Amino acid sequence: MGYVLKEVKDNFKRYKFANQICIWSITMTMLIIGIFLLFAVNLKKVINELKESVEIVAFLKNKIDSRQLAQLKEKITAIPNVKSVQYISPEDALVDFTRDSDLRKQIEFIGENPLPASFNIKLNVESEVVMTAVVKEIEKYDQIDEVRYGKEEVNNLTAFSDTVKFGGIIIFIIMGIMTVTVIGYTIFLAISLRGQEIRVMKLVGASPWFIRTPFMVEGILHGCAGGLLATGLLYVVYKIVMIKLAGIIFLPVFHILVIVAAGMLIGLAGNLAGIENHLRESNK
Amino acid sequence: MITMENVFVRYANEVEALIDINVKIETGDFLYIYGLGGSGKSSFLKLINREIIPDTGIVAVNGAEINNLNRSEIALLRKKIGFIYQDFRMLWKRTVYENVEFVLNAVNMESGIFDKVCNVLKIVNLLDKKDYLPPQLSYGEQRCLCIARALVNSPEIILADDPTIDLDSHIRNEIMRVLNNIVHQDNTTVIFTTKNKGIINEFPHRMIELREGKLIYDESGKLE
Repeated sequence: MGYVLKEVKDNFKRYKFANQICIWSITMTMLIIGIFLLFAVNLKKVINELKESVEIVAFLKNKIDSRQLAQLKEKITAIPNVKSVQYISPEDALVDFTRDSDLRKQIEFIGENPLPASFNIKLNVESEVVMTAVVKEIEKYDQIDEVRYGKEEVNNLTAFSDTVKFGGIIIFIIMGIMTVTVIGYTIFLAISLRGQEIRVMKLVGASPWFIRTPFMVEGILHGCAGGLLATGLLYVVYKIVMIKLAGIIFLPVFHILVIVAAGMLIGLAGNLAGIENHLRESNK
Repeated sequence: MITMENVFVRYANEVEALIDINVKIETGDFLYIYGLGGSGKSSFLKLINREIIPDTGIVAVNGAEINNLNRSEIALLRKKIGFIYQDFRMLWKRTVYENVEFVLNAVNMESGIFDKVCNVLKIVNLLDKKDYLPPQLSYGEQRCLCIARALVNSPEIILADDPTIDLDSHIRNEIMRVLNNIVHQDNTTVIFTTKNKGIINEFPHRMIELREGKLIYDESGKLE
């Protein structure tokens, strides 16, 4: 092991150019993957926020007393998949409604508050089926006058989210193949710069694993360095974008670890593939 | 022991490097392979080191046919061989010391590496240049480095592809003395290619002669 570590350390000094090629190629391709992941993470966040904003509004019949109100709220809260129930009084509804100046003029013309009290109900699960089931339960209560919910909105959001997920997976696979191909060829060329050395090692009796092991460790280190550099550059990109777009989030730790681990795996695989070409024994 | 039976070697450009070679080399032999350029001397050595395999015929080293060896077995074979290449085959980005040390690392030697390397560098007069890179050495010194690398592991077989060409006479004589000692003391087999009749006459041993790939002479003795 001591020999391997010494070899790796010395090779980083001997072959600076080849090592830089490998690290920067991994960095650039991991950066592209990282930008894609950053976009995907924030798109998912936006979709989730939109889904959360879709709520059921249950309008209440004429004034009910506070005890009946509390009981009704409790019953609705107990319905499966209901996350929260918020009571909106007619006065609160009026304040909201009259934010628009045209609507305020209409209310003033009427002379009284026509708006009923309501419950705003949010669910744990954003699906049209669950929403319909909850609405049916709410409609059973006598104190409920009318229930409105964004059935189509939920459908559209769910379909959009599913399309984005599917499309995202396809794009990720294509990008993954492109990334591995580009990095693989780059590393292959970098290893070729050391092809003569590998051949000499073979000829003096070094076993294939004796030759391979330092290259494998170098590949892992290239990938780790590339992944970390890519994450650092991605953070700079994120900070620049944040100037224009507040509210976007950086990658979670798990995604960062995936980028670094993917870099290490690609570095290892690229080096192994590159060196195998030179380890093959010629027959003439 | 090294044996070649009915060996033919033909390269991709249809050049016949070796034609129907039959030879037996006993352990502890010092064998000259004499021939002019293109006679097949280097191909002969490359067969033993399994750099190439014969198109037909059998080459066996210590009973193992080289055609059938896998990669690990080839590496084991080469650990027992010290090859002095005509074109050096150096590790150009490693120092003189590191070039020789590499062989001992490759055979998993754990201790005594420094002493062994320094001893062999002393023999070839390169001890004071052990921290030099090969491009900083003269042509003759690079050849000496190649010789040191071949000797350091006390191999069973030494394949020397015209190792004394372009060397000063005193270094050449020293190298020949070392090789002769190795044969006598360690029973090492030495196969030495040359196109120099003088060296064969000066240090006579068994000799075979190759001409255009064919074995035309196989007896010990001086050339006339």
